[in-house]
Amino acid sequence: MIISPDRKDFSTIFNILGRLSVVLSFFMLIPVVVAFLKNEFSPFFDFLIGFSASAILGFVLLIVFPIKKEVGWIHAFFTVSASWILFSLLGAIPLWLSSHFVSFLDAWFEAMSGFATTGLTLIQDLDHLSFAHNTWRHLTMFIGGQGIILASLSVLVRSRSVALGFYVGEARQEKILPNVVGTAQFIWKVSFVYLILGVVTYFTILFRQGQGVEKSLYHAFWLFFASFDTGGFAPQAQNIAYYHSLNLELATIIFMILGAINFNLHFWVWNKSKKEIFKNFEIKTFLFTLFSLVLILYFSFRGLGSSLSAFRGGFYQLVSAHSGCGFTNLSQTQLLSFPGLGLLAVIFAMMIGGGVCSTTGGIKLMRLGIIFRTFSMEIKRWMMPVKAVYRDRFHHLQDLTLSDKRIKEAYVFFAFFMFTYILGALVGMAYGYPARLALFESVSATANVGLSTGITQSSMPTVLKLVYIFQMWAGRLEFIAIFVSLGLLLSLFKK
Amino acid sequence: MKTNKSTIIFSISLLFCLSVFLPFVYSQSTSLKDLMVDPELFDQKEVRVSGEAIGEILQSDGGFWVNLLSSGYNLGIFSQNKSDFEDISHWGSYAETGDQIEVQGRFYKNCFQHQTTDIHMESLNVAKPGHKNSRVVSSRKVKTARLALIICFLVALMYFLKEKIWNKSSKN
Amino acid sequence: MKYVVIVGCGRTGKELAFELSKTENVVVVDKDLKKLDSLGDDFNGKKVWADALDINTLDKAGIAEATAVYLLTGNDNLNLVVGKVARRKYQVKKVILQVGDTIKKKIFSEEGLTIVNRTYLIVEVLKKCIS
Repeated sequence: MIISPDRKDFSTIFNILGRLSVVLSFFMLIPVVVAFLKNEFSPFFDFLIGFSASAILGFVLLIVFPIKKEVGWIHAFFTVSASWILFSLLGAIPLWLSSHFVSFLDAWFEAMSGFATTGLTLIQDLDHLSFAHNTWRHLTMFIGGQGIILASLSVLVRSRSVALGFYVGEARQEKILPNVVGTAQFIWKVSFVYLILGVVTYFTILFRQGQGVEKSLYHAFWLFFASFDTGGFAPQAQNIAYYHSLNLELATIIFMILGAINFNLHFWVWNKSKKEIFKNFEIKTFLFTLFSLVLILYFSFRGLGSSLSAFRGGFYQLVSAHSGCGFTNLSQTQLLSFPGLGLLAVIFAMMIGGGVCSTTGGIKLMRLGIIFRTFSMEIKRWMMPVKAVYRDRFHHLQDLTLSDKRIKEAYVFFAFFMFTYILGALVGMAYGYPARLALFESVSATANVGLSTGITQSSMPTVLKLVYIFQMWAGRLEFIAIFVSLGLLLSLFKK
Repeated sequence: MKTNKSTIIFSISLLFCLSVFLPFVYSQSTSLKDLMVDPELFDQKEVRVSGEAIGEILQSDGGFWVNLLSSGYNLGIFSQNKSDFEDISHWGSYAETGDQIEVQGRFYKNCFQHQTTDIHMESLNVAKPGHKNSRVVSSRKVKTARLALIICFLVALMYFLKEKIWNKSSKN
Repeated sequence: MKYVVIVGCGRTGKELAFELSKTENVVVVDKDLKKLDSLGDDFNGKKVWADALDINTLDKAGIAEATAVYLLTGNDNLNLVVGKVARRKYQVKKVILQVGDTIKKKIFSEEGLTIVNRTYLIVEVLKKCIS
């Protein structure tokens, strides 16, 4: 039985989108305040316009579309998919007004990249961007990373039992606490504590470097949003390479990894047992993949002779790729000059991503771990007597069984991601880009990483920009919400 | 025989001169773009580049840094002494356009000390001083903003009124 | 937010679960999968498919964090036994259980253990109808 939507359903959906637009408009007031404090007049008006546009749209939707039905799963999925598109379009307005983008499409790309915590950038002349605009760029990563839906969960959704639909629609399938609102509150609390830690750490490093108090403070916040929410935007054109600071690179590694860890694990370590870190399935998978990739990287560089000198760049890139952040301490030419195998290692790291229920993208550690386990399980099964019953277990917070349902789910997501990675690569190649670079960029967009080999620039083909926007969106929502929404739209047309 | 000898002496001295001056051949101003697009060609050679000074002097990784921007390309300039950079008075940001500086130094594609692409500077001079950016706000933008805020206020008012009427009617 | 464990997903348990899950963390335990499924896939709480008499079940349900435990199975004796275990072993602050038999209420009452006699409640309501 396929659920088909009617007018009442859409009315409800648009109502919720209206609420979310109003919430977004309030976030836009933050850059307004920054512009005011820094005497940046033009940006001040840019954001007032952005604020008004979002608020106007929000209130109009609320007036025209009252909630007609009890909010259900279908509404949740569709709203989640649509909200990312809506937010990126609205968020693009102040960016486009800054005159730092060649076209509105570029500004939309940037906004989507921010909300999807990707980090691919089309901005022009970043070194001369206003504080207000830079605040907004980094704020989008915070909003997108913590979840637009999470924010409104505690405030706007009336029917709390359906908050779960939003939560799952946003690709968070593991519940930390039985009640989704409780889960949302926890994620906020944890993020806030890390925010304080992160800002203090970064501020100290930057201030001691010689940046003024004000600038250090702003950069500290921006870098925290970009690292913990594994986004990857940086305030300057050279990204992390601007700072030339080993200390900063090490600090960002810590927060990138923290952001890439399953929030559930954060919860467990905080409230229950610290030993879980050592027993946890995802952590073990991560250590395995990171170690193997580092080894591959090391061997690929050995051929060049300067193995150690390339290590700082290579290792940082690998962690940045694996955590889905996208920070880089290398110039584009340096990245391009990675030996073939080394670049492939980075691509693999990007494909895999971080933990489920974290701010990272990619296939995710849990699923990869399950896939590895299934392989070994199959091999063992062939070596055992025919009638033996074999059930594998693994430890993720609790002892869980490797059920068929879990295995199937892992493979389905694996397939979705791989298919999208390759599709994006094919489009890139169709436009004449070399295969490994096209694959790199496609994976970077889908897995919401943000490292770039140079394909992402304002001059790239429009179709490719749209393809990457779609990939960033699809990867962030992990497809299911999007498929449900598409199914919903199609059934509407069938009528 | 004599012509052969003089030719040989001439050739040798020419070669000698070339070999001495060859490392300095790239002292002709190179654009940052050329450096970044083809770093192999310039690796470990003396170069002279010019660009806008961005941000501020940064102290880290064993010395001091100034970041250079030129036609969309960036590069870090390194020096052991902060005093090397003291001539720079304007720094690139939203509010200011930084000094155009000319730097002479050795370019490294993959500097062993810092594991990054950079230039270890030897000399620097300010070619053109920077200035504060005069940022003019277009009146159209201000008008649009005002209009947008008014509409926003009106629409919000409409919404809250509607909610009040609704609540009243549902209570009746 | 409170942490509530409900053992027994019958009509009463289900209603209570839906109500409480609006504002608290709710975990529902039942050994019948069909009953748990009737809560729906979008139930805003956790479901544990296990027998309450099994030692590990209460741990799995997170009884260590529980602020309250409801014993609402159809089996009075089970409710009483598990209720006692929750009180004595896990020191759960509030244990509420239902029974159908007034005699049991008198025998088993103790500090922190609230026994709701459903027969008595219904009788009281019925009395009021004609008073």
